[in-house]
Amino acid sequence: MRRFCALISRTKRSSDEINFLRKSVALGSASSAQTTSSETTKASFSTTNTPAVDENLVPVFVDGREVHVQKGVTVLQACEHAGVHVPRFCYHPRLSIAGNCRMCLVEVEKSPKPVASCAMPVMPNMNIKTTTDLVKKAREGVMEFLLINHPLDCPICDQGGECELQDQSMIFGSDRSRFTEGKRAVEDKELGPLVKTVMTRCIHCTRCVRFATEVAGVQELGVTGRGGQAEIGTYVSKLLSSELSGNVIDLCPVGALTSKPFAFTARSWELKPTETIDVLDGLGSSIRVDSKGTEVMRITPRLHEGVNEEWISDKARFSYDGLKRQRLDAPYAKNPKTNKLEKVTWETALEIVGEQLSKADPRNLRAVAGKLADCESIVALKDVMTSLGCVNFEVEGVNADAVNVDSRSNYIMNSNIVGVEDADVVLMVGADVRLEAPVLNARLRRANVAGGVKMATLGHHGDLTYPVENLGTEASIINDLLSGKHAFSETLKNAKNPCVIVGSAVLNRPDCAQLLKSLHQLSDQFGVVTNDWNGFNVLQASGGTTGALDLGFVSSKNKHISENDGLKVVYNLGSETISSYDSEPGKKFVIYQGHHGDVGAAGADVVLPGAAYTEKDATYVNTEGRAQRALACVAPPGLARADWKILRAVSEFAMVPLKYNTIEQCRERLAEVSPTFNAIDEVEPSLWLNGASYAHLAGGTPNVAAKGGAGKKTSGATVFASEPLTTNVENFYMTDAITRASATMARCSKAKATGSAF
Amino acid sequence: MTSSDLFFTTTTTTTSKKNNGMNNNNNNNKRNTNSNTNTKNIFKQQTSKTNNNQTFSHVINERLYSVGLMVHRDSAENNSSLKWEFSKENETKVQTILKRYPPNYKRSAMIPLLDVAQQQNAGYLTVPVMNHIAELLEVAPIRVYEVATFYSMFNRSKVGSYHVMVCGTTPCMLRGSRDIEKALSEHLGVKKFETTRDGKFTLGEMECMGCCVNAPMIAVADYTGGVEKYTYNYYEDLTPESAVSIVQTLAQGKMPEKVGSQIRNKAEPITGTTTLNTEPTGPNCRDLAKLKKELEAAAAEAAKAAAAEAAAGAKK
Repeated sequence: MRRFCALISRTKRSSDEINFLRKSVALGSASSAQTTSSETTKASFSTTNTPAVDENLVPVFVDGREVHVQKGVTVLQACEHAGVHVPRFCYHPRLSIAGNCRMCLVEVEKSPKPVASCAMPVMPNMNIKTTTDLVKKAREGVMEFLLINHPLDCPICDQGGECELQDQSMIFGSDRSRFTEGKRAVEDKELGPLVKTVMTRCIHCTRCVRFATEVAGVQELGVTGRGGQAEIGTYVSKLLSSELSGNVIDLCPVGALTSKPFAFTARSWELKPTETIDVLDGLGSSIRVDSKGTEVMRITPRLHEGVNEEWISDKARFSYDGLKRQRLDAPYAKNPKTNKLEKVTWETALEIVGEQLSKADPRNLRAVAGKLADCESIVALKDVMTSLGCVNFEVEGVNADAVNVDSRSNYIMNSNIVGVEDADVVLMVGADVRLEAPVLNARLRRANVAGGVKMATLGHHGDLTYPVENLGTEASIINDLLSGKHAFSETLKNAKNPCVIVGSAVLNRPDCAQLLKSLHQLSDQFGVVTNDWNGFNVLQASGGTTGALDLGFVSSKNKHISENDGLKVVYNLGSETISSYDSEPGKKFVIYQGHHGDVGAAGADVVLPGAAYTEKDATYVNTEGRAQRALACVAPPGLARADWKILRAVSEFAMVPLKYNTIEQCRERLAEVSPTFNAIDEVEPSLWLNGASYAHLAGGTPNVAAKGGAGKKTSGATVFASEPLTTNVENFYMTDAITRASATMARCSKAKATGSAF
Repeated sequence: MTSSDLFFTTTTTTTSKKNNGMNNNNNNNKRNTNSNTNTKNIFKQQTSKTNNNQTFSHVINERLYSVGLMVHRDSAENNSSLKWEFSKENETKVQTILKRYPPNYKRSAMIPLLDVAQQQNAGYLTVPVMNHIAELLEVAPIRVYEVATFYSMFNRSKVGSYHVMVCGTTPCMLRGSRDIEKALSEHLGVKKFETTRDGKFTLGEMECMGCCVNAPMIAVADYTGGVEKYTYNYYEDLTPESAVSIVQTLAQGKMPEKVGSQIRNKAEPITGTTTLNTEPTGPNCRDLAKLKKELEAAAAEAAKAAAAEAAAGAKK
C-alpha cells in the first residue's frame, strides 16, 4: 500500500500507473486494513459523475466525458485518466516537462490554437478534445516536421518494432514526403561501450538529457547548437560516466540511442520475454529478460514502484553476456593422479560427494552460501547439512559471528527502499551507494534535490551525484556522535525521521559486532527507530545474502570446527570468497556447486554445475526483505541443473534424503522456516529489539566499565579497528562471478579506468 | 576541386559548359558585381541576380555552417586540459556582473561573462574559457557549452582581430548584401567564414541585426585591444565600395569616419525628413514650466507651514 501512497504523492503518472490505480480503487475498498491509503486513492481519482467532494479535484471534460482530476495536473494526465491516449515523445512521467516535441497537441475549447497537453495545466471545466480534425491535422503537421530530418532506415534500425516514432507515424504520418531538400546528417557520438548512437535519427525530445541531469545526476549530456543544427551530445567528447546510463536506451523514443551489446543481434519481435528479477545488487530490481532460443539476448527493466521504479543499473542490464562465458556445463572431479579437475558423469560426481559428506566427522563439515544463491537451494543445503550433523554455516560477505540474525531488523532495510524518501537526514556508514545500488542512489538523489533531505557519509566513497557532508572515515567517529561531541549529533537529534544506511562492507569487518552495536545504540539514541519509524537500514550487496540470513544460514552458538586431524569437508554453494575456509589449516575436501568457473570452482575437488539466476525458478530476498520470484528464462547450459535439484540428489547420495521432491514442496519448506516466503513481493515490518540484539557485547554505554583489547570498551568509548570505513565495491562493473565473466563489463571497467572506449 | 565542390557537381558542370570550361564561379560572381558598379545611387535596384543553376541546397549548406560545428574537436590550443582565467582588470568586471544576480541564480550571469571572456580571449571561446566560467557559476560545463553554441555571437573558433559580419537576412539581401559580401571577399581574398592570412579580418555572416531600415549593413567586432578597446560597430547604407573602404581604414589601424549609416543622419527617409521638421505647435499636453513653478510654490508653502508648526511646538 505504501506503493499507492508514493504514487499519489507524485503528480506525474503514466497510463500504466493510472490504470493500476484505477484497479486499486476498485480493489481498495475490499481491503479494510488499508483504508487510509485506499481512501486517498479513491478521492484523488474518482471517475464517477457525482459532484466532487474533495476541493482538490477539478472537473474536466475529455471528448465530452466528465472526469475529476487533481488540481495542477496537466491536460495530458487528465486525458490519460479519462482513458484517452495522447501520443508523445518528449513527455515522460518521471522527468521534468520539456514540451518540445509538440506531438501531444490537443484542442481545448476557447483556445485559439491547439495546445501542448503535456505542459498545460488543467482548468476547471476545461473542455478537451482529442479526436477533432484540428487535432489530427496538427499532429500530422508535427509528424511531418519530425520526419523531415529522420532517416528512412527502419529496416536496419535496432529500435524497429518498438519505436514510438514508427508507431506514431503509422497513425499520423503521411505515406509520402513533401520535403525535397537535403536531409541533414549528424555526427554520431561516442558515449562508451554501452550506448550506441545514431544521432541522425534523433528527434531532440531531450529525454536523455533530462534523465542524465535529473535522475542519474551526471550533467554531461546537453543540446548544443540551435534550430536545424541542434544536436544532442557532450560537446567535448566524453563517455557517459553514469551507472544508470543504459536507461537512456529505454527512454529514447527513436533509434538514436540503442544498446551497443545488443546491436544487430535480434529483432524485438523475435524475442521471448520473461518477467523476472535481478540479483546482482541488493535491490532485486524487476527486469524483463528477452531470450532467443537458449540465449539471453538482452535485459530491460520492469516497473516496480517499491524497488526500482523503471530504472536498472548498467550491471543488471548489460552483464548478461557473462551468462554465456566461463560456464560450468558438466560435473568435474579432481583426478587424484594428476591433481587436476576432469569431466565426470553426474553419477560419479554425486557418488564422490555423497561419500565424502556421509563419512566425514560432522564437526568437520562446513557449508558456505554464495551471494547469488537462491533461497530454495540454501534451504536444501541447510537441511542436508543439518541432517548430517553439520553446525558450521556461513554466508559469503557476512561476518556471521558478529551479525545477530535473530531479528530481521538487524540486517534488512527497515525503512524500505521507498522509505528513504521519507527521511529528513540520511547517514551512510561504510557505503558507496552509487556503486553498491545505483538505482537506490538515484532515489536518494531525488530525496536530496527535490526533498531537501540532508545527506551525510561516514567512510570513503566517490562522487554520489548529490552534495553530502563527509563526517570522516574513522569508525571511532561514531563514538563522537554518540557522546554528542560531533557537530553532526545535533543534526541527528533535531531530525524527525533520521535514517542510517549501513553498507555491506560493515558486515564483513573484524569489528563488525562492535560497530553494529554502536550503530544500534545511535539508532536508539537519535530516534532512528521510533514507534512509527525505523530508519535503520542495511544495504546488502547482492540478491542471495538476505535470503540466506532469513533462513538462518549461520552457525549455531555451540559450533566450531574441531581441531582434530580429520578431513574437513566444505560444501560451497557458489561462494567466490574462499578465504574463510581456504586460510584454515588442515586437509580439506571442497565441493563447489555453482554456475561459473571462478575462484570457487578453481579451488574445488568436485564441481557440480548449477544454474544462474536466469535459468531457474527461484526465490530471492532483496535488501528490504522482499521475497521475489525469479523465473527460468532459458535452460541451463549442458549438464547444469537447477541448484535445489542438485542438492536434492546430493541428499540422496549422502543417505539423508530431503523430504521435498518438487519445487512447490521446497517452497512450503521455505515458508516453514521463515514467514517471509509466505508473502511474495511484500515487505513486512520487522521487530526492533531496542538494543537487545547486541546486549551480549561489552562496551558502548559510557557507564559500563570494561577492559580489553580491540573491539572492547576502554575508558568509556568503544575502540574500533583502525582501518577506515569504506565500501567493498571497488569496481562497480565486476562484483561477482557473472559480471567478472562478462566482456561488456570488462569493456566498461576499462572505459571507466582509461576514460576512453577503445 | 574541393569536397564541397564535389557535393554540387551538377552546378559546376552546367556552368562550365556555358563558360567554355573557364573557372566558372568567379565569372558568375563578376556578372553580379558588374550590374552594380555603375550606380552611385544605392537606392536603385540592387538585387543580385541569383544564378538559377545553383541548387537550393548550396544556399542551405552555406548557411548551415555559419557558426561552425556543434561539437568540439580537441587541438593543441583548445582542449580541456588547458587552464584559462580572467585577467586582473576583467576580474573586477566579472565581480560587478556577478553582483547583479542573487547568489542562488548565479548562472544568470552566464551570457555577460561569456561576452567579457570572448573579448579578453581575442574574439573566441575555447573549452578552457567555458570551463572556467562553469566553475565560476557553479554549473556543469555542458550548461555553458549549450549556451555558447546556441548564440551565434559567440565564436568558438579563432577569428581575426576584426570580425566583419555581413547581414544576410532578407531585407539586407534584397538591398544587395550579397554584393557587399562578394566585394569584401574579393578585397580580403578570403571566402565567407575564413580569416585573412595576416589574421586581421574574418569575414562572417550574421542574421538580422535590426537595421533593416538602413540596409544593407555590416557589423564589425574589434578584438584588437581586449575588453578595454572592444567595439562592436554597425556600418549601414553600404555600397560594395564603401564597405571595402571601411575595411581598408580598419586595416590601417584607424577608425572609419562614420559609424552607423554612411549617408544618413540616423534612419530618416533618404529624401530627407518629411515630418516633425518644425518646433511642436501645441497645444501641449502639459505646460511643464508652469507645472514646475506650481509644484515648487506648493513645496515652499508646505515647508513654511512645517517650520511654523515646529516653532509653535518649541514655544509650548
